[in-house]
Amino acid sequence: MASREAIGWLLQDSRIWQAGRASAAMAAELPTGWPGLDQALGGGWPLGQLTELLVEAHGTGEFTLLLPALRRLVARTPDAGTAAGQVMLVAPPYIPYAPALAGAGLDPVRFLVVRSKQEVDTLWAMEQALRSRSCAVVAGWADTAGKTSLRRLQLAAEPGNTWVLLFRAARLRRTPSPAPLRIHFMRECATGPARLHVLKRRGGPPAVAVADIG
Amino acid sequence: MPRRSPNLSLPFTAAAPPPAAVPAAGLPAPGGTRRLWLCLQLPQLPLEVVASPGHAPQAVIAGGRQGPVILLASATAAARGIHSGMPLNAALALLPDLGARQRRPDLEQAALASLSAWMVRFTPLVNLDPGGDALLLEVAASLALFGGPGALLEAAVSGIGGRGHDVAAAIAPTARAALWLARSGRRQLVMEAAQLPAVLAGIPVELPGWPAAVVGGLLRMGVRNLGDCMRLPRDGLARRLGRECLQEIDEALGRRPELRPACRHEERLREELELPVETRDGRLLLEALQLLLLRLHARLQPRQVGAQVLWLRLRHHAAGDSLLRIGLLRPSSDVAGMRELAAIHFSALRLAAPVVALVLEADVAGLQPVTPADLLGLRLDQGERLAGLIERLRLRLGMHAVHGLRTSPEQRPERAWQPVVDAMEPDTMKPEPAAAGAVACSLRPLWILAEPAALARRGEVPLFHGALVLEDGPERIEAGWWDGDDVRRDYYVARSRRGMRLWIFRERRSGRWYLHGLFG
Repeated sequence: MASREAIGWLLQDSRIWQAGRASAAMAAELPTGWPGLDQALGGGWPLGQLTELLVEAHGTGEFTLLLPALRRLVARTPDAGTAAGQVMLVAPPYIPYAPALAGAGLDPVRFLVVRSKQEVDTLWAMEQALRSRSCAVVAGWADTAGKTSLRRLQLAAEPGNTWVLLFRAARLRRTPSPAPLRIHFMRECATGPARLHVLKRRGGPPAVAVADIG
Repeated sequence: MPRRSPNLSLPFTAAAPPPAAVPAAGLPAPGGTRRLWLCLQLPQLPLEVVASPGHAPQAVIAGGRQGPVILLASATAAARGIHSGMPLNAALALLPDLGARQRRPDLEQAALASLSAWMVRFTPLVNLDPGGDALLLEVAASLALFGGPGALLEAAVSGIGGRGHDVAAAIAPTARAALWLARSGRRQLVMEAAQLPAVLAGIPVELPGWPAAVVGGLLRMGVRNLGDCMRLPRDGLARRLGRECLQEIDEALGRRPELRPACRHEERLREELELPVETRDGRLLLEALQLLLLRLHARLQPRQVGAQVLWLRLRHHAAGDSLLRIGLLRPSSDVAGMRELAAIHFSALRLAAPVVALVLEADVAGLQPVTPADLLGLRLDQGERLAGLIERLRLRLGMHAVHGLRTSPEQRPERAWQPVVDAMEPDTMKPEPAAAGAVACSLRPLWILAEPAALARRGEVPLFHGALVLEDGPERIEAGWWDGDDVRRDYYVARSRRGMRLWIFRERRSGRWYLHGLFG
């Protein structure tokens, strides 16, 4: 029985391709919906690895940035092996507003909100969600997370094809981090478009993208 | 009623297949479906439920007209001359160390009920012969699954044998015929109703348990078996036998429908375990619980149902009981999963006194979903994994720390959404229609504050990290006067100096500004 379970875990690993299963052939990248950003990232949001988004303040447009990709994931019809489009938000700074989600074409039913009082719990919950391989998106908010905990998250993310996002404060952009993709989200003036500094990414030089987020 | 000891060594006397065009022998086949009954009769049941283990000669006694008589004797007692019907006094004179016990019909019925719960694995239609000692299973639909009638019968017989009962079995197209065949000790498989008259002909008239006067009358006439009965003219037989006995023959032959209600299953299951020693060791308690969970699983699994909530009562010797509620997100009978949850509960448990006994109760909750498995027999059920994840998160963070979202048709923005805490199973949560009663949502922020936060102002200008610039508005929301929680607000979209788009409102009565959401 134990060996059968072991085989089960192996076969769900996105790095192992099983003939006859279309899901494994799915691209490990998710188009962002912002042409400039797609170009800067060399394809789209990477799945199965930790993406760090460094923001100046909450509510500056970082959620809007994710909407096109979220829409794509949540709308995708679930089939055996792929995540059924569940979005888990761990310790978000505010409450995701269900009518606005519905208005943006996202079914609120697909969202799960986890509240945690301590950052330890936030990281633990994200890791659990990744290891369970039951969510399409796991997004967390944790500013003071240390290098070791980020490394753990990255390791938990690798075997799956979950989109893993960690929101942190922009002042941490000079601190080294094990996340393979780090993006600094900022605005130069209040009404101008958002600028996305790709500080670090796999297989490419740092780049800057501009997204016209209102 | 005379009982014959079953002869299990008899070979199957499966009747030969009938000629092709046999008119159905009167068996009313509703909807064209064929019925097939498996009867499992327990001839030694009265002895089995009261006997003490070992080979000492034992017997069950029942009150007769002149003092107690032997109803059933064990094999060792029978070997020394004790037989049923013998007065107890005579038996004791023959064998002074005979262990005689009163018959316990309540224990017999309890044993049958427990067996019938186990039999559900063969068919959902299990009938308990009222007041009798037999189980009747309607198995026509189960033959293919168990590999034919012979294999099915073998599986049922060995299952009952494994639970320590002596059993006689037969299969026939009518329940009563199966019952009589089993009682006669012939392990017979009759597949067609047309064969019944020939097969039942050899059944002696003493066997069906008719009134002694009727049986005596028949024997005096030289009618020894059912075959003789069937040859007699029907009206004469009706006079001699009485209407009821004739009806039984008709039922056995399938000429008259017979009503047999299926057993009702318990909806609340209860398992109890006395611990050999008092303990407060969590590991020992978990081992004991594992045993209870296995028993629970054995009762849930054959019916393909699960339990949603487990109540575990830890009995203490002196103090009151400790009660644990272990909730599962979806009905399950998975022992390992339930044990894992219980272990987390136990680790947080502070016991006031040592535990002497465990009582586990569970309500049967719905069908357990059958999860599809792939070629290697591996289950790839997303919902199950998600449910497990939510359970783990809730155990550590609290029940209300994990919730889903839902829109609700309300004007007041803070009431236009609701957290979803119960029944968070994604399968049962229907996707909502895009704008289910909600107002036009394009002008709603993606983030909302749990409580509107008051904003400072300079003159008429609201402040949030500097002066705010109003970009859009006002949108007036006036609602709730009907339930006393009325709001009268003018909502604006404002832009802060740091580039945040905010959803703010001015309360019309006080003129104060509040922050209610962020467009994110």
